[in-house]
Amino acid sequence: MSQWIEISTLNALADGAYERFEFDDVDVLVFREGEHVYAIEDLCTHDGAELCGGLYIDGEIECPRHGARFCVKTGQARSAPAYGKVSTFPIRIHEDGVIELQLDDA
Amino acid sequence: MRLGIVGAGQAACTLIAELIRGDFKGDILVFNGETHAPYQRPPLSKNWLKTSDDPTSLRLLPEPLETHPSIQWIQTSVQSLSPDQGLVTTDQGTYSVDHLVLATGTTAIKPSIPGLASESIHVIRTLDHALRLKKSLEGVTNITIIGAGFLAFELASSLADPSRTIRILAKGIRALPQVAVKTADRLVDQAPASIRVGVEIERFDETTKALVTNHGSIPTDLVIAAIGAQPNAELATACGLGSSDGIPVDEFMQTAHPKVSAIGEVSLHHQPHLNRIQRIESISEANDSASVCAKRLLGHPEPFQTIPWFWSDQGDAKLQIAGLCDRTDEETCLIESETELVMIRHQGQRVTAIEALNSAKEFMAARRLLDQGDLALDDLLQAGSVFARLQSSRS
Ligand SMILES: Cc1cc2nc3c(=O)[nH]c(=O)nc-3n(C[C@H](O)[C@H](O)[C@H](O)COP(=O)(O)OP(=O)(O)OC[C@H]3O[C@@H](n4cnc5c(N)ncnc54)[C@H](O)[C@@H]3O)c2cc1C
Ligand code: FES
Repeated sequence: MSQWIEISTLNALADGAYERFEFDDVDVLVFREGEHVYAIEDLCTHDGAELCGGLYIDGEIECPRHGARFCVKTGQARSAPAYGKVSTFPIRIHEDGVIELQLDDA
Repeated sequence: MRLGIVGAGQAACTLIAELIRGDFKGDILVFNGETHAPYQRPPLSKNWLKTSDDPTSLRLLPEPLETHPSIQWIQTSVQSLSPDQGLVTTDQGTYSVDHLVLATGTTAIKPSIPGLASESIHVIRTLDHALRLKKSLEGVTNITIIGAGFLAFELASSLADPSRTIRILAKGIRALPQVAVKTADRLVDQAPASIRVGVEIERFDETTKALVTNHGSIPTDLVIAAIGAQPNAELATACGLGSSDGIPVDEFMQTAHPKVSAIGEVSLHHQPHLNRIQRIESISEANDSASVCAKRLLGHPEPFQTIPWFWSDQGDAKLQIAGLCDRTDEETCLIESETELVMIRHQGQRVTAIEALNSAKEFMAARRLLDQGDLALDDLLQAGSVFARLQSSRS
């Protein structure tokens, strides 16, 4: 089991928005939806574009290249041209609002 | 239910993905007329042509879908259909199905050029075409591309090399007539090709290795035709369900026969955004028509109502178009910088399309706004950007 990595706090993330975090082998988008936080890999399963920069509306992020939409909670592709799921990462939020991420794919 | 799908391209694969996601209760027989597993077509003229030799990188369906137990892949072309009996005939045998979806796409049109055998003219429609083109490039210094639409410009960008001269020949009076003059000018300026318009090709002269045209002789080692495609509607036509214009379907992708549907760029249906019947060749049409068909087959029909959209990569220039317009629609520039260009196409106040060059954010916002309903020119001009207009509509 890989380590939990502290990435941010709940207050530091804008509600209904996302931020990008870069690690050695992977880039991660972290989304805040009220008291919930979700993390997915910043890599579209259609043709490898960055999802960062895509519109995040109603729990879905849209790939800026060809418009595939992904559920940020489950990683599932919600519309073509992507069919495959994007990787998701476990998140835990401590009582003091500190957010931690685990880089193992859930 | 036993469903037969003819064709294994973009529309067929989206239909399969949506049926499996919707927990379709039945078997799916897919007749794939090509020798390759389903692959993506757009990269064939873009980055893949320039940088890759690996067909597996084009794979369309991820593993769990391609090998899903409800799918039986039949690697052969369908020769005829008997819709009343629900029969599909191939050289491997006759198959019985309860419903049939035709997703047969189109075939590239080849011009006839006196002095040049048809086999010597390249087209790019399939993976085999692209592999053949790659093999033919050795030693080639003069490439002539006939046609001046998106495909021609994508090919020019992908084939650009200091050792080659690329020429694009257009029959019409301008290149890229699908987009605004200003958008076309940008793309023409940065294309690694010389472009001639108003060209009539008379013949190919084998001795001088040149195309003889009304613009003089054009040195040519290799010809690629990018002049459009015609619908693969023969199977449907033989049953009285289609014509050379495509396969007519209603807003649920149902043909005149209750056991036959048609999807993708072979389908001919009412486009609500254009308010007319039109066949559209694009990934969005393939995906959206497949989704509509999937919903109907899953028992919760919804009519086709999506807004068409399109993308084209020409080297570093990323063009994305939300909506679809007539070539005569007016054009107004919304954003212009060294790298970005956003053009509004409109009929008076009614915005019909947004062309965004290197501006994905504007494109995404345009798709959302067009999906929400009518968009007025003055609203966009006042907001200063499509994204700002989207934000104000959501607040
Ligand atoms: C080089 C190229 C670049 C493109 N770039 C873009 C782009 O950038 N953006 C965009 O939006 N669109 C682009 N397109 C268009 C897009 O790829 C098509 O609109 C889309 O693939 C259409 O999907 P379809 O399923 O209707 O047809 P297709 O994907 O063509 O699939 C049809 C399949 O049916 C098979 N078939 C036909 N007859 C039979 C039969 N009798 N039996 C069995 N199988 C049969 C065919 O062999 C084919 O495999 C491009 C197309 C090409 C060729
Ligand atoms: S790369 Fe994301 S939709 Fe194509």
